[in-house]
Amino acid sequence: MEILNNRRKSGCDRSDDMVAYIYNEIVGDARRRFELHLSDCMHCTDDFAEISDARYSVFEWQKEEFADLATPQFSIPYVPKPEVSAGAGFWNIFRTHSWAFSAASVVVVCLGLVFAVFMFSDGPENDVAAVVPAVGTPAEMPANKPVVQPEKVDVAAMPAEAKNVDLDEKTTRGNTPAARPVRAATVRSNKRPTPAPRNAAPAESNFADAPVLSNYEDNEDRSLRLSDLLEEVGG
Amino acid sequence: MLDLTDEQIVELALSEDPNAFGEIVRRWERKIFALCFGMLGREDDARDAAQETFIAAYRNLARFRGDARVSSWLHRIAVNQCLTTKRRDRSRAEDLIDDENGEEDRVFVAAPQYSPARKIEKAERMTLVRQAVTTLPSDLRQVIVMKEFEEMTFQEISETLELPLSTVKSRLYTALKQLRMKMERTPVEVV
Repeated sequence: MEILNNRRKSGCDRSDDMVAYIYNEIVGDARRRFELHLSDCMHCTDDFAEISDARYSVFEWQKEEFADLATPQFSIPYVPKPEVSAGAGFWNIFRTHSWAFSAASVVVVCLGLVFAVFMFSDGPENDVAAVVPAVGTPAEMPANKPVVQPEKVDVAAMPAEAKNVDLDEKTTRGNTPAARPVRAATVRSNKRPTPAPRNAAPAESNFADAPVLSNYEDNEDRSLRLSDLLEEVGG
Repeated sequence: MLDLTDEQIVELALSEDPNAFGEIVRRWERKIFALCFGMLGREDDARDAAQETFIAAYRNLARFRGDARVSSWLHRIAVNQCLTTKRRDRSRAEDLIDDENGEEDRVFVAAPQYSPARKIEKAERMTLVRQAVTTLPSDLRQVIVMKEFEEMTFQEISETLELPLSTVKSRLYTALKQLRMKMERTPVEVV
């Protein structure tokens, strides 16, 4: 406060210019104006002398007591950045992320293999069975479609002539279902593996769970059979 | 002679003993040197200007009327001498003074005469300065350290401390003034 009062008494406050001039941070016209004022104003000249004396004392102290102190050396092992050309920069992306691209390519190849296996796996039935549910299963058939139940014929009740009929008779193509002899599902049964009873060993469960390829009866099968051909040849 | 005032020494030098003026030089050479250093920024130029100042003062001793203090009279002569030196350097197209950012100009060079008495005086002055700086208020000491030790510009100090530029300059001025008052309370006498 005493310092401020002294400045006010003198009516001359050039403190900002004074410190700027001492530290050589006043330039141009401002510098010349201050020098001109300094040569004319006794008060500012004395003030400037006091400031300069104090400043030089600090300057001298700083040089005497701190100039000989060793500056700590910090060595930071910077890794020089490799110079990369504009074109190489593009390919460097692949080099630096080669593991990522390798992993991505492996994943793509695996997916391709899985897809190929899936698409080209053997057995059209498998594909059909996988895609299309078993046809003819009463529970699965739509309700609107008529359920064709195989006609069950009691063999015991059949007449003798019917029993002696060779069930492997040739079936001619184009025969109407009415002209064809009725075959008992049970007669044909000896040509088919008998279904295992339900109380059998674990194998029967597998057999029972076996997919049903076709649910239509043999009497509906009108395809040419080897056995029929052999009958014709053999008589 | 140590008990005489500056004005009495001047009268003595004018009347009886011209060598008495030497006491004036001994008393004020450092402060005049500091003033010249503040104006010129170079130690060798400041020493030359201080020498020219005392030569000019001795030559014009008879013109001293006593209406001002001897110190103020010497200050005025020193300022004029420094301005003349600057004009002379500018006319010679030397950029020693016009180099506004000449950090190399601030290098301190030891005084050519270093008697044991001066060494003791210097050591005592260093102790005095250290004590004065460390007892400054923290906000003033901060600016002194940043300016003298870190060699930061006023703008840099202003940005670092987030203070207006005028506040930084005002604090530095106040700090230097307080240092001056602290050091004057315990003057260093040359034995």
